[in-house]
Amino acid sequence: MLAVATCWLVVSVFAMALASIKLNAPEFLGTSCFLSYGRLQPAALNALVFGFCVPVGHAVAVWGLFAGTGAPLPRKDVMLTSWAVWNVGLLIGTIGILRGDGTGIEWLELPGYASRMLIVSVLIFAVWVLRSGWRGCNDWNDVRLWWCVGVLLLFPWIYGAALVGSVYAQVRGVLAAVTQAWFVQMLLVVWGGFFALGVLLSYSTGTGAQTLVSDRVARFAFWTLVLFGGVGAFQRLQGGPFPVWMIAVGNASAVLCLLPLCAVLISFRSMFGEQRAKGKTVGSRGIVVSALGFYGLALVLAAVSCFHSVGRVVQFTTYRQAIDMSLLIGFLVPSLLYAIHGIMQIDAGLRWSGQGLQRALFLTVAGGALIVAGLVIGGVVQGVGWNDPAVSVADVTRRTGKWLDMTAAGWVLVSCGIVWFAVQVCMLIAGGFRLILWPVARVWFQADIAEKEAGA
Amino acid sequence: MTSRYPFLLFFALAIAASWLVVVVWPHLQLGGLEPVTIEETGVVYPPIRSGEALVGAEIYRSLGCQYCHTRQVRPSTMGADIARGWGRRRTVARDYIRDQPPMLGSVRFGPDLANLGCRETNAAALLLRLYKPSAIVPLSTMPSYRHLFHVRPAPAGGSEWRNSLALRMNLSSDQGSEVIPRAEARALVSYLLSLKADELFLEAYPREDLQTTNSARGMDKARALP
Ligand code: HEC
Repeated sequence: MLAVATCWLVVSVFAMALASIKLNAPEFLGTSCFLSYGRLQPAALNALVFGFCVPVGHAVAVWGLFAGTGAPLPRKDVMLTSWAVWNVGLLIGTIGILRGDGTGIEWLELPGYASRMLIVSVLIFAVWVLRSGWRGCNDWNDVRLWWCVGVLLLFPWIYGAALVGSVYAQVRGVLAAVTQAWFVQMLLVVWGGFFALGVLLSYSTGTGAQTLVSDRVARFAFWTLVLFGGVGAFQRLQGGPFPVWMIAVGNASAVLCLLPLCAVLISFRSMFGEQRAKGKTVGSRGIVVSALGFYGLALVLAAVSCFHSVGRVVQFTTYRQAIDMSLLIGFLVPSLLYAIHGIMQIDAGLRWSGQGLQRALFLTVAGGALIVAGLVIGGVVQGVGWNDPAVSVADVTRRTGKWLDMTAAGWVLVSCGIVWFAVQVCMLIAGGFRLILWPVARVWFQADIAEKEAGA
Repeated sequence: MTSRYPFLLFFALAIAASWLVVVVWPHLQLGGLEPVTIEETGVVYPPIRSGEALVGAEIYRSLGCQYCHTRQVRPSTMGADIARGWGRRRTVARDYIRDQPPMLGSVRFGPDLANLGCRETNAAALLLRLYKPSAIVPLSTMPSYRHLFHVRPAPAGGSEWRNSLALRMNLSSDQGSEVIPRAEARALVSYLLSLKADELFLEAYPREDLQTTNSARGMDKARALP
């Protein structure tokens, strides 16, 4: 009993604290089009990715590893230390970016002094995972475990490698851009893919004792994703100052990335079929479908832009951002929100108001759709404009601007959804959970307020 | 205790494979690039930037210009960059070997800046652009970087700083005051002026031309044979 209690206590603290971190998101997201775009945008992006997505993803994966086995979390002080270091580092780093200390390498802007802290934190975390995960779980044939371990171990790997490659070792010239592309690709496509697919799988099957429909399909998806996901990074560099083979390889693997996607789609189809056959209501279906939809959309968009005729239009436009945002906002964020909901519900026995949750998620998803649509269309418009020398610069800007307004509206919607979600989390916590959590919660809360101020 | 070790091993290997292909391999190919000496002119390319321009590069980075401006020219088969006058040729990896970080940029909200120094040689115009972009393009979406400038009442005897005059003339709303660029603004502008990627050397020759010359040569040979 005590063991299980500890387990969910820790995990819920994770979930709660991380959920409240995203209270920042409205401010970050809403203002990212304003004046000093060149600083706000990276600061917001880093806060979203490293403040919300990565830690929640890790928390969920930890939960997936341990809650399933019912074992207590070993050495949770170590894990919490790592987590605290992470957040302090991120806080410092975000302020640093706003102050102009960003490294200028997209997605890895956190200045050296901050990312060093993150690395320390991640190392502690990785060691912890390896040492405790080792003992914790025995049945390594369960593919769901693979996904979880994938999530947990991948991030230290890629973050470390990317930082060494682009920020610290100061490789020459364009190589920093290559490393950066690899990192983003691994993070969004592979890490994100592991995480959300794994978690969505276990949630949509979790309520019953249903297991994965096809183990083999899932394994196939896992390995193809690892292999091709990262190499697809080259595709980001299309048109850039790089040798031809790199782009060709990138294009090929961007197309090959569709393989795991198909595999997953197939397994989901049959899963839904099974559920329907059993006459069960599929509550989470909407969210699963939309998240997968965004993931698929991103992969398809990327694959389509491999075609020369498409690529020459959309390269260096907001189209590329559309792919990233589809993965980040359309896919990762809603599934993380959903996962938080699941964890808090199952572990803490809390009851969510189903409608509230649905609306919050709906807002987020709808906002995500607007964002992506605005960016895709805006990107094509922008690209067509740039590619026609007769169109003046001002015209290109004006035409694109309309679509970027749509994106901004999408961000507003997402912020609403996220605030709504956060309010619900707060209410849940306030309602009866306080006694256990209060001492811990206060600490996190303070850290969070500080972070919010930094954002403002 | 089933397939734990093999799994971890394969996992690490798979990631390492992607790391090798994407990061290490390009490194082996491009990491050793050295500046070239252009034979005809004796110029070493890419040139070493002046100290002021290097400071400017830091400011460019810290203000995040690269989130709106790319610094890479695509070959003419891949887009209209060259037709737009953004460069004489595509950019190649060697253009960036002195840049840390390269700040290639990924989205073009504004024009490409890889060859800004070739098409814009007027420092005052660039200063004005930084101070008040809307003075050049009405409704510009480029942010104003006013904090890079001092604004103070103009001395009666006229301004002593030559560039501030140009600034003042263009800014009807700021009449009676002069705008003096701070050191940061001047450094940034000197960096912008140093942005040139137009020397031609082996891998930077427009590929289309190379092909035509090669095929032309082939035709010559074919003609010479009989
Ligand atoms: C929000 C996006 C944005 C940011 C950030 C930005 N710019 Fe611009 N820039 C533009 C746009 C759009 C134009 C096109 C002309 C216009 O609308 O003013 C432009 C035009 C320019 C031009 C003229 C190019 C030409 O071909 O004549 C220069 C030079 C320039 N920007 C430099 C900079 C510098 C230096 C920075 C960083 C301090 C910067 N820009 C930051 C959007 C931006």
